[in-house]
Amino acid sequence: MTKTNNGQKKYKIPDYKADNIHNDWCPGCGDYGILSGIQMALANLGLPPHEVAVISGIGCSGKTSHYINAYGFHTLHGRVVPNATGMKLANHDLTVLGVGGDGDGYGIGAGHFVAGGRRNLDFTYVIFNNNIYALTKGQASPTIGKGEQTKTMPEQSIYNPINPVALAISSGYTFVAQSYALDVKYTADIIARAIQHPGSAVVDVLQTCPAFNNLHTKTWFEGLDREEKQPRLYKLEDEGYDGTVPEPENPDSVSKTKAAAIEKALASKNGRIPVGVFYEHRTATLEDYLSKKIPALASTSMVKMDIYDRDISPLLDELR
Amino acid sequence: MTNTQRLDLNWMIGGAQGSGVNSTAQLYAKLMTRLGYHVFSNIEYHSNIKGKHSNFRVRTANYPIRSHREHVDVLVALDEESLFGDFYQRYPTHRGHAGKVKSGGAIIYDSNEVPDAQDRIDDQEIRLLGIPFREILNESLEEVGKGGEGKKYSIMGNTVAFGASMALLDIPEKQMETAVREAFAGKKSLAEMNEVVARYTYNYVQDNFGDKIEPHFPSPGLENQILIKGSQAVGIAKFKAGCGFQSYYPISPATDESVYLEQHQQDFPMQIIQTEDEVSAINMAVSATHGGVRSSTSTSGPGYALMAEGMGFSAITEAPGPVVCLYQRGGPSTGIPTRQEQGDLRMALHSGQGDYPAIVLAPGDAEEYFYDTHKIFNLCDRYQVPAVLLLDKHIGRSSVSIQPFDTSDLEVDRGPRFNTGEHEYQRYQFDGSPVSPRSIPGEEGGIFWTSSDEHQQDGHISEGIGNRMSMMHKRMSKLKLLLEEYPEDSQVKVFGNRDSDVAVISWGSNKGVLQDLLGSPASENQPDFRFIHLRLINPFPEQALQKALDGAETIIVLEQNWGAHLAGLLQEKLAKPVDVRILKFDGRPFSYDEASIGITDAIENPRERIVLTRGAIRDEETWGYEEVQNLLDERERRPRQRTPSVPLPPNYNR
Repeated sequence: MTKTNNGQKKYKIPDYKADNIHNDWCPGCGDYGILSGIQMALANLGLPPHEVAVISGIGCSGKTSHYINAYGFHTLHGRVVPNATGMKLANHDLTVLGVGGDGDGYGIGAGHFVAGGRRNLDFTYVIFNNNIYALTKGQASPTIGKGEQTKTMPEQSIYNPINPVALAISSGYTFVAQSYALDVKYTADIIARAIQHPGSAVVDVLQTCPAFNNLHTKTWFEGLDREEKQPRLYKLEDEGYDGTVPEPENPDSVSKTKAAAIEKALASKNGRIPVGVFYEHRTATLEDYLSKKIPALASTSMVKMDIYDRDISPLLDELR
Repeated sequence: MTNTQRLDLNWMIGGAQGSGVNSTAQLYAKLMTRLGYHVFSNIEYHSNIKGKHSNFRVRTANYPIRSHREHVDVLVALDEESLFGDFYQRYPTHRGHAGKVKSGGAIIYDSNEVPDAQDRIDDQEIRLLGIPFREILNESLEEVGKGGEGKKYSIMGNTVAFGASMALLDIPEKQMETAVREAFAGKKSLAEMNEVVARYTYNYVQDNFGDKIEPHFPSPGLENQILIKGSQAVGIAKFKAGCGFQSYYPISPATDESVYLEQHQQDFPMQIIQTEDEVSAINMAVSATHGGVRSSTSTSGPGYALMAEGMGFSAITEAPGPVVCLYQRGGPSTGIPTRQEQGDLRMALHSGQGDYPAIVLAPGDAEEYFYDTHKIFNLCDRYQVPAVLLLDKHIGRSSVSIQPFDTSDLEVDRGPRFNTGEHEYQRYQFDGSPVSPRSIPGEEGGIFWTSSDEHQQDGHISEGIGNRMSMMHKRMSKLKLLLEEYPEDSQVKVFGNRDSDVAVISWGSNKGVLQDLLGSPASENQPDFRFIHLRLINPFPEQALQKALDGAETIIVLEQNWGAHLAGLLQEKLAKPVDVRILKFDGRPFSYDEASIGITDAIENPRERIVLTRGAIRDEETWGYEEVQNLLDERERRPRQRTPSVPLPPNYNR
């Protein structure tokens, strides 16, 4: 950490690295890219580490909160969204970051994932999407394709996969993006945009699992297995796509942009996979609504309120 | 009558759900409270929105009361079913309430609906006030220019019932009018119409049933009383304790509390969040407490079952809370959701996987609901553990008249806190106390990590053997510390004759009925016993209980469940035999009379199980079957009755 001329603290990437902790992810894991992306994003935004809370679920991705120098909560399997919600509602001034895997978020936590979109709480949810449950040795996750079979799966997957982007948009998330773990700088930029977005933001990060996912490998993402050697990934902005809702208060404008974003997410052109920001809608957050209902919240967060001398006599008088 | 006489008046209103039973009973209970009587009222209702039978009892006395009676002094029947039961059903569930009316008691009913009531009631001493509800409405509404529109306004039948009750009990007309006016405050035209109907009915009863009116009984003149439900007492305590976050998933009967909180959240800042499920509710609440805000969630048995993992998560991460208000009711899953039971004691004690510390308190009445709720937030902060308040439908939904709470001694204690500037802060530091100072996210220098996995002092994961041993010891010894610091007279309370050979042990909402049995002039032959109310369930107050039991020869446990959960716990913790288990699991709370029968019998003829239902001791192996057969036989003997109508005209919004 250094100080700039005007005395403001300036944070660098190492300020967001937790000291004295051994990272036990496998060598070559895509998780490292996402972790670096998060730390880079926090540094780019210059957020003081003690004003950031990282909430993680269970699995390899669940350990992420331990590796970041910020308040870290390694919670329960699938419960990232409710835990992030409680933390943010306790203190509206915190930057709350949820991190979890695809099984965690779209499988066991699917109900919370949908509800999280409906609430439009101001938080960012980064999902580590490697198509499998890695820590339990490679079972199918909700994003693996029907008929796909990795090396530790005894049978082909017999379920249809979910499309995280389409699901997030239909659930009501107001910022929905996809990225690729091994493109660290791009991932960092997208996460920084997601954190800056006031409202519920989802960043689904496609990643490799060198231990168990032998289908969606670095070679596969880069298209080196194809004859034309063309990467499977392409960036939405390179094709002139912009998912920003042009008129945020106009319901028609909102639904048209949503429809276009979902179409982008579902369209399959020669096996090409889009990354980038699919959808962005600036509108009132859950905190805005709560502040309207509870006037005291407009000026201060719940955690800073004085609770020591409350007068309940008006409540008792009502019961006379 | 003279002032030395005891007034113990049991008024009951019955009718179809949606026909105004609740509002009329609340109005009646409130007026009696204001007139300075002791009031206790409780409700029975089906899991249904409109149409099925519900009844509300309001007991009024000039001495303290905390329970209901089996008999009824004044029955107000809004429909035929309330008098004679639901024999039109394929499998009838009840025989109506006319048979519960005491000789000398009175029945107010709609003579249009049940023209033959007189012929069907055996007891000639019962005062019958057959009132033509429709005609009364038609005529009284003349005054406001709506004469003859009785059918349209038939919902106001409950105001007819109220006016008739007031006349019968000789309550001054002015006070009745004021009560009706205030009940409809804010809806001027409704207030006027209802006032007119009440006054007309009042005069009608005076003119037509003058000989049946009870002479006015002087009130003991209690001043400053409030009429409160248990769920409101909990809610008010949460506001007082500075709780800033409540999450909940809708479930009967716990939702009452969240609804109450939401109505007042703007004045006492508290964020009330309806979640997608109970798993979310508990996790949000755990996280909000880590975030530095006092937080809670309220639920019933099925909801708490889903919170098990979250309780363990709170405990292993040493979150200061949350407070879980567990309103017990009938059935382990959905069961009989609107009925009473104490079936969740064991679940509250053993809800999660593995071993973890959690406080369990079981308050027994509206006052304890208030004070224990306030206290439990301090305990959570002080020991950094989750807590369960074992509440139930009976107290949660019963209204009782009490003096307002005394808040002069109530303090907010946030427990040990981290000081900025401490170097090398470790959230789970071993420093002699099982409770480490905590920092709150946002505080500089206080960064910590925590994990649902076993962790070391800095919060990072560790599966080391020594670390695991030390951390388990640190967490589990919190409850031992609590027990040392917790005042013994708040752990268990002893009532009645402390030297009696007979000890009756009970928990939660049975407190009222047992206190009444000991201290009330309602019964001539009071059994002699000491009543030990177990208020702290976990950590188990072994020492305090041993002291309270000193010299007792017969141990009786009374509780509302099939499995005698507390009795089992006592045997486990005290290694003392429980002689008699008095149980009730029919979904209704113990009445005064039932508890009296049960305890008298337990003392005279001690045996392992005594099961009570419908005001009597039954042979539990056969009564259920016989009961159904009797009801079916009875139906065969009776002509088929009309289906009672639900008097709810369209477009009438109250």
